[in-house]
Amino acid sequence: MSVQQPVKEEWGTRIGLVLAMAGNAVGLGNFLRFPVQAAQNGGGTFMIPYFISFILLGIPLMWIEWGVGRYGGRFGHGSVPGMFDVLTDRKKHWAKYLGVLGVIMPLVVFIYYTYIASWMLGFSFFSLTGKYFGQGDTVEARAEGVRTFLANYQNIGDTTGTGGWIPVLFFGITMVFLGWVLARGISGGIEKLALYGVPLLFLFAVVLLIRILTLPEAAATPADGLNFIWSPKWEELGNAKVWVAAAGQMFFTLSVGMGSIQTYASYLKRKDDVTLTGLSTAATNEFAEVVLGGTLAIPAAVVFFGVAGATAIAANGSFDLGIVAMGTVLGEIGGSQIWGFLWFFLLFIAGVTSCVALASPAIAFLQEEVGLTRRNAAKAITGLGIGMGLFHVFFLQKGVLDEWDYWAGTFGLVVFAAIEIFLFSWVFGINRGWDELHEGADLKIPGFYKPVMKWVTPAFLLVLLGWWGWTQAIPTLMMSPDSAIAGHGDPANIPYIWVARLLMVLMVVVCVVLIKRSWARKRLES
Amino acid sequence: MDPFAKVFMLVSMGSVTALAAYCMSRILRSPPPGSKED
Repeated sequence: MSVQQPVKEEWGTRIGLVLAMAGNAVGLGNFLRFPVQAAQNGGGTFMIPYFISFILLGIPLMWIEWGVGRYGGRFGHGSVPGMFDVLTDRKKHWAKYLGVLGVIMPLVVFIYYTYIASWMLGFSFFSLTGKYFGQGDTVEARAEGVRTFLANYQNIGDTTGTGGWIPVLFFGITMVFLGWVLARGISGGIEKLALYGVPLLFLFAVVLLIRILTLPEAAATPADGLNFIWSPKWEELGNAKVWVAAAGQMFFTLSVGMGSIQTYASYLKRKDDVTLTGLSTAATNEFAEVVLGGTLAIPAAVVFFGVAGATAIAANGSFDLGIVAMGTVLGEIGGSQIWGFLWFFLLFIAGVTSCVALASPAIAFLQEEVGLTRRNAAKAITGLGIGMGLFHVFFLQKGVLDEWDYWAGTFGLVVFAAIEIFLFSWVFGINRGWDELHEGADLKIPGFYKPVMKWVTPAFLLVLLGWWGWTQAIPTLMMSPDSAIAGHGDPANIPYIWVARLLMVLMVVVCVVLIKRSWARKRLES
Repeated sequence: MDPFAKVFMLVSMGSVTALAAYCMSRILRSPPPGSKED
């Protein structure tokens, strides 16, 4: 096997690398999805399968992804197709094509996630102007006012499916900013964003946490809110859905099964540690999720809406909690404009630090397989992001974002992780893999993780894949009544959903063609 | 707040905080990327 030129770029500092990785992992899911999942799945009981998933699924996958990325980087590969190829010692030609998932899935998520992050930028701005506060006589009426404001912002209810240039403006600003960061490279762009952004995010979160925990009693107290999220409902522990929800949350929160961790790790040198760094990434994310994420939105909602009101809000999903409920709650307290700005700008930072990681595999892919410079690759991804992102801006109400989110941001993660762990533990071999992870390691991985990586995590993933495949993926693919996507129920949405699916398939096809051409060229050159 | 919920919350939050603090303290004392290469 010939060793190619290594990837030239590298991380400047260890703390910059960890913060960039933490920025990748800490996203909107930590502050919005986690509390909703915990509230909907048995409160404190949810934390038992959640921590078991962290130990048996999250941590081993995190280590494997760091190891795969650094190993691929040694052969000059910054994206998953090349990494999967070297994991099979370049003997299994199909492996690189499976790696397409590790380029297209994060790219797809990057596009719609940037649009969602741009909402947070928009709401940061409108918090400062006080645009959406105080529309109504009661707290419920004011919440309805925020909900209407959000719906107008998202163009929901606009039957033509077009109009509203304000979301386009904030989306454009966010995408151009991300393109600028990405073009500046690993140490000059992504690492600098993390060095400033992630500490700022934690600072904002701690300030908000203190404010929320010291709120005076209204419909309830902050302690009632914590009680609501942490009280165990033991009867839920035997419910398979709670376990699947906890395992699913682990994927979203750690950003494993995506392809972006591998790209970041590919910029490491052969003897740079991956074990301590990987565990640090996971631990920092868990701190942000369990300590900060669990103490902000739900307790705040309980204080003003009561336990019953917060339960109803949590049932409506993450954005109802994060935007409608939090927008209302922060409008109720003194200094609303500042508190609103802190909350939404925190979410914006969490979003953009994840977005740069999501775009990185596609940029690395264009650099190594198409031969573009980083600057041109960043321009290409930004252009593609704006073009396809506008499809979501204008047709959000048709369910196109939900469609991409389900396939690339939910089900696809489990599929990709299952393929990856099979290649690492079974094709590359767990003994080689174990030695590879310990090359230059600053932390010895406990021995019991070796059988966990070979048997337990793959089995866990197969069960998850089977469960989700049977109960969700097939009905969703067929758009049947028990589909996981609510938008499938409206026949008027179907043409748009097919366009959304075709765009994803088109990206996969283009990626496969580029790989085929690139490998043919490399064969000729060698 | 329910006593069990309080204990459960404090143990959970304390565990992840301790793990994050331990990892970060070691990271901050560790060499920069590339320094172990020959």
